[in-house]
This record gives sequence, structure tokens and C-alpha cells, in this order.
Amino acid sequence: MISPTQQNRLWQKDKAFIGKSGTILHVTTSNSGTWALTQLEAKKHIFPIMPGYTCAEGQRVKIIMMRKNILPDGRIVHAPALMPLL
Amino acid sequence: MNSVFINGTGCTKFGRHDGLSAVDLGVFAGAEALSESGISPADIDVLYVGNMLGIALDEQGHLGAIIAEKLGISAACIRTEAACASGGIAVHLGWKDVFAGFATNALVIGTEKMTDHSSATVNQALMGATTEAESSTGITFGGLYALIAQAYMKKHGHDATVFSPGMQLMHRQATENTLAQFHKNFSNKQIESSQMVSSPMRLLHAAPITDGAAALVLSAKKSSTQITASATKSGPPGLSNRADLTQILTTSMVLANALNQAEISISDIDQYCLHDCFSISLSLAVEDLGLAKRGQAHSLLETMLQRESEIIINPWGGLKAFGHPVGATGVRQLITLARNQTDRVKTGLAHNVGGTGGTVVIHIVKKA
Repeated sequence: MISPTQQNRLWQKDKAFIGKSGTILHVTTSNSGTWALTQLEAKKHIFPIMPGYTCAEGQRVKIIMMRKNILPDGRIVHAPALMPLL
Repeated sequence: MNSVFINGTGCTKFGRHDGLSAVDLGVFAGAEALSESGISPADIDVLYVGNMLGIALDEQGHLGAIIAEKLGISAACIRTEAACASGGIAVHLGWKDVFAGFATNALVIGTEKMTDHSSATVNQALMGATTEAESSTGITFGGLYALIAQAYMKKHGHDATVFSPGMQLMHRQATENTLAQFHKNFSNKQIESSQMVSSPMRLLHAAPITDGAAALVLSAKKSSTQITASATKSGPPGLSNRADLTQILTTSMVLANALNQAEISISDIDQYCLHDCFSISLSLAVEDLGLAKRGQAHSLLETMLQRESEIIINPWGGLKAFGHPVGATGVRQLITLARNQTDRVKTGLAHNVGGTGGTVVIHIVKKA
């Protein structure tokens, strides 16, 4: 299992990490409100969608902040969350 | 090279087993398989135990030696882990040992104990089957398969009702199976109004959390069931690295290997045990094996539901209704095929998937 510290290290491993705040991504597929598989050039990643928003396939989204995510076992991690661009 | 036969089968009831551990369940199934085979524990040359969650949930990973001691086996004992394909991989390794002549008799057990923990804890442990980059977002397997389902629906212009016939069929086929976790029929309406897990996957689109174990004695000694092919391959464990979400390419590749080994074509298969951990995975399996055109799995499953098809898929209910103790499923599938053989239903194919396609194992059995 990955700890929040390990996770942050993972994200920072690649200096050009796709999850940098402000990055614009295209949604490849979304499950209507919780997660989206996104793409920027050749890179694909799954990110959580900001609560209360949805994004559909083909939509442009922006990584806006690190969202506090509570894993099923209660641990808290911070994942970059997506905000749809209207 | 030896021909490999199934000499004995053992299987616990799938469901909830309060007070019994993965070891207890594995020992029960292993003892039943040994008894049916007539082969003494002293004559077992190797034991493989398929198990995924023992370390994560019960802090118990040394299941090979522990189960071997209780069964009176002192041969080499190895626990195998390949997510939900842990059982299929255990069978593959046992088959390889007998096929290559390293063993005359191999005992293969798949066992899992899941219901002692909350579904949240189990879901978190299951995320060990995907990549760190995906699990660290907090997504669960329901969410991953939901993303696949959304892509599938978009590509083929479907709504989520296309997943209902398959789930209805799985439950109907389990009603007479005394070993199954569920014996209840569900209507399309019940399936489509069940609790949403991760859109569009609902509760009745998902296989349950299950305790259970299954075991096979594989041997070079001739019996009524021969394993004529055992093939496996790995694919991208994360969705992010998949070129196309609407198929598991690895399944098609492993199928080609398996058919080549067995020297048959897909039309020679009489019955299938497919990996239906979610409704969408059943649709993908049907299409990846070429049983229906892309986007048309629901038509075949609807035809089966109306009893208008000769094809047999998951005759005892599949993962959805038989139950899905993840480490045991790949072993249980071969038991289903062996016990369901008749003079008419001679050749069967078992398809076992780990994660969202990181591991695929296919076995072909035939009446000898």
C-alpha cells in the first residue's frame, strides 16, 4: 500500500508531472462524476473529479488543486483533482 | 512431455464462512480433491496455493507450507499471487510441472477469506492489483470498470441496460448450484435500480465479496478430463497504458496460444467459464473471445436468457452469482468445466483475469 509521503514522491519523481496545477487535459473517458481518465499528448492518467462536477469524453479539464481524498481504509491522500472547463 | 489430467476436484460452498480461515477452507478443498483422486498426500510432488489477499487482510502469506502441513504433504509448496488470476496462475504452474515431467502429481488449491473485513478494507486491498498511480487517486475496481463501461457505451452507442441480460442470466444459472453464494433470480428492473456503485456500474453489476476454496489434483495418470491447453500472458495493469479500453487485447492473444496448444478452433468449444467480475467484463470477455461482434455481447446473452442459444457460458453462475473468492476463482472455473462435462458437452474453456487485464490465463479441458 502506498503512503501519502510515497505518493507525493511518486508525483514529484517526474519533473514534468502531468498533474501540475493549471495543466489542461482532455478527458478520454469518465464515469460520470467521480474519476476521469485523461490525456495530455501521449500521457494518460486517472484523476478524481472535483465533487459536484462531471466531465464527459472529449471535454477539456484543468487540474486545479490537490483534492483531499479519503481512501476506503480511512487514510487520507491528496490527489490532483479536475475541474471541467466550460 | 506428459498429458495432464484432472484426477480430483474439491470445492467449498462459496459465501460467508464465519470462524473458518483461508487455511481451513483450503485444507477442506484440498482434502476433498485428494480423496476424489485416490492419490496419497505422500505422492504429491508439488503444491501450488493461489491466494491474493492473505497478506493484506490476514497478515498470512505462507499458505503453501501451512496448508501442506495440515494435508500431510512435504513436497515443494508455493503460494502464487496474480490478483484475481492467482488461482488460474496456480493451475498453470501445476500444469507446467506435470507437462514437463517435473512432477507426476500436483495439487493446486485456490483459497480466499474476504468476509471478515469491511467492504472498504477489502476494496482497498484489492487495489494492490493495479498501478500505484491509479490506486493513489482513491479509485476502486468498481471505478476502473466503470470507466471501461463508459468508454464501451460511448463507442457502441449503448446505455447501461445492455449489461442487464448477462447479470440476469448469471443469477438464473446459479439457482440450482448448491455451492453458489446466491440462489436468487433478479429482474432487469431490479438490476437497473440497484444501488449505484460507480456510474454506470451498480451493485447487481458486480461480483460479491466471498469466502471459498477450490482444489484440483493434476496428474500424468489418465482420467476422464484432460487439460489440453494452459496459456497466460501479462498486459498493461493500469488503464492509463491501454490503447483501447473497450477490449482486453491480452485475452485475444492468450486465446490464440491456447487454441494452438489444444489444436482446436473456437467453434470446438462447448462450454465457457468467463471472468465476469463486473457486467462489463463479461461483455468484454464474450467479444474478446470472438463469441459476438464488438458491441454485441448483450445480444448473445439475451438469446441465452431466452434459452434460444446452444452456447454455454458460466453454467453454474459465474463470478457474479457463484461468488468470487479472488484466489480461488481460477481453480473453481476448471472444476465447473470438469463436473459439467457430458457426452455432449466435451470441451470447455476457462478464462481468468487479474486486475483489469494485467494477467490473463486461459485453460482448455476436454473429456478424455
